[in-house]
Amino acid sequence: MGKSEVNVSALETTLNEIRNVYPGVTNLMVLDETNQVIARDRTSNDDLVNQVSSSFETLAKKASIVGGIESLTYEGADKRIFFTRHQEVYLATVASNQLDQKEITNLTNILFTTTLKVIQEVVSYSVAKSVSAPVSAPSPVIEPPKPLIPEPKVRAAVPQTQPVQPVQEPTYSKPVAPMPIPVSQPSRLAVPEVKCKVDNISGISIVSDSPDAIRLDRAVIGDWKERYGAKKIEEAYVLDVDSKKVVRCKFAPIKNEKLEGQGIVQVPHKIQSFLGVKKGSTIIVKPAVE
Amino acid sequence: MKSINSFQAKPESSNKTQIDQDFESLQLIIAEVQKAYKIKGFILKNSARALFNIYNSDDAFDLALLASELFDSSAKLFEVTSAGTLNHVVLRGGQMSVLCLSDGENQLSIFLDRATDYNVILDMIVKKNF
Repeated sequence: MGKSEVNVSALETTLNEIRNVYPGVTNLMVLDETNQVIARDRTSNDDLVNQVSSSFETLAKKASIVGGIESLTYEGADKRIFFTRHQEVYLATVASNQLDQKEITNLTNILFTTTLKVIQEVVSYSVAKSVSAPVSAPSPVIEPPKPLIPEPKVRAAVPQTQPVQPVQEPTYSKPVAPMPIPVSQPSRLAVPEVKCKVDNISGISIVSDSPDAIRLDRAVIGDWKERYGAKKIEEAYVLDVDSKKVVRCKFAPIKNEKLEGQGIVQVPHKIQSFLGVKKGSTIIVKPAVE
Repeated sequence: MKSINSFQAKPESSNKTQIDQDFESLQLIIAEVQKAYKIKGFILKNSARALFNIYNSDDAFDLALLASELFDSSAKLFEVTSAGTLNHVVLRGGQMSVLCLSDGENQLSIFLDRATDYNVILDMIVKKNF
């Protein structure tokens, strides 16, 4: 079971628990920023899920005139349907009119928001682990520098009378001089680097995708694919000019259309922490061409 | 309201039906709401008549589309959830709120500033036997 499935499973468990507490709540669904249902309770069937997704998607587009949807409530004779926004996702609830809406809203807000936070923490933790690991594959442009101390067997040869130098962990963040490049291959020095402004990636949108991936403009990804054609580009290097730190990670297209073409890259929080950058910082992104 | 963009299409028949009477009573109600509260506009319509009054004419078309979509989506969602007949819909947006009510034939949509408490207006309209 992948991380995303675990997260969706956690969400669905929460939805089912809310339903258990309030039997008058008939259906619960979570919609992501693209207005697709990413989690639902066990009673929500495909017809309902499809209808909720399509109705909400259409409405969300038309609601830009009023500043987007913060909340939406349909009050019927027998039931009410309400959508409440939590960070970047919406919780859709179908409930009987017999239930006190304020009570349900409070409960769902507390339970649901807490679950979201927990999931984000878990995802951030797993991203941190992947970031703190050494760069997975050797890179022609950026390689780990040689350790500042001799190898252990050399150290063992040092007479015991001499004080042992403190061991300094090798870092993998300093770029080294590029290797000579064969003429027949596309120039790796000419790898198209893109300067981008850092934006946060938050919310449960990471549930449905790789949580440790940065999000790039579709145009940038398209350009890379065009340049390298047959070569598989699945990862990118993210470099901070100031700290000279670099991270190699997966990438995905930005989901929010409004953010397209603005020269931003959405970077998971833990990668930001590792690089020492924050929202608004300028970083360089390059494709990791194998 | 500084700027008024209103339009009223009259029914072809001069015989007043129940729908027409309801429409006219709603006109009176919305006039009272306008006097009592600062609203950004409204749309009142049925299959034969329409009356609208939108503060910002540039937004009129988009707001009409949004209101229409709110009624359409309610019909679809209520069908799959067996929620019964629609009482009202409230959309709270980042800048504006929309309150939609229907008595089956007549549809009333009111556009409010986000800070305005729609419950007060809703109560006022419901008390007038919408």
